[in-house]
Amino acid sequence: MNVAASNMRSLDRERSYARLFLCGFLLLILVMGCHLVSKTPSRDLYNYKFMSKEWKALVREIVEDPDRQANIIESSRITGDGFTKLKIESEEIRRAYLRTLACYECDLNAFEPVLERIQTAEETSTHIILDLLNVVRENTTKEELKLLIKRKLEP
Amino acid sequence: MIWILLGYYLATMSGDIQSPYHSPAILQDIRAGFSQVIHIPEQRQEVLQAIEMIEKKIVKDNKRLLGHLKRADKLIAKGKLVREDIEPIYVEYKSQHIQSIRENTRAMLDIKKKVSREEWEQVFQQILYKGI
Repeated sequence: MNVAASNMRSLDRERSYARLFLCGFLLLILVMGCHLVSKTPSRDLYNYKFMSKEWKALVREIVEDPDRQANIIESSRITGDGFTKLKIESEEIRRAYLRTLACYECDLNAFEPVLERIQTAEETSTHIILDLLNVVRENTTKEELKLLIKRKLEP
Repeated sequence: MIWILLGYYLATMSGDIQSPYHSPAILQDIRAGFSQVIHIPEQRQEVLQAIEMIEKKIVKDNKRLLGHLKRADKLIAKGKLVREDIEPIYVEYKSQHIQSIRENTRAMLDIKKKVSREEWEQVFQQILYKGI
């Protein structure tokens, strides 16, 4: 009887260890998942990274030729400036949109100027991204490009 | 490998498509505003339901728009970083984004028929005052 009870207790203990292990494992996956999500770079982060000293230092470190370095750094500066202007413009458009929405007499036609501004801002955003990538590709070797992108993605 | 990295790189740059002009966040403020200023329960319920519908539509539209950007990213990841290939996708994305804003704005304007001028202005004065 005692042996059976002892076996049962031992089995219960093993089960609770297994549950504990499973909970720990799930918690670990959850923590890792959150860590990965938190590492996902946002567009804002990139906008500012292009203007950062770290990005310039990375280009100088990885790209061997000084002329090619200068081309990328200049293009990054232009991209960074472009995104800063776009961010300001986007704030202004947001306020203009809300002001128009707040106007009780205004109909859909009143939103046309705001929609045009949104359209222009999006076109600019696309062009500055593509322009920078072109410059980066044209001024790097395969290995340099690989390193640059890989290192840039590190938080 | 380079192309996959480049694709990821572009994906992270263009991944955020939450429209700053017409996001569910703005709608949440509008909904909170109307729930405070409308005192007739039936009218309040009707307005809040209409706003909720617009919120859901915006979320749905955003998912569809993200699909366009992902399509462009896939092309790039395959090594097709040609402006002529990618630009049409962005053009399509842009026109659908504008169309979505236009449709959802029209739906917002329809709410004016359900509320008084005072109620409308009171809600938006609060929102503008908050300085979103």
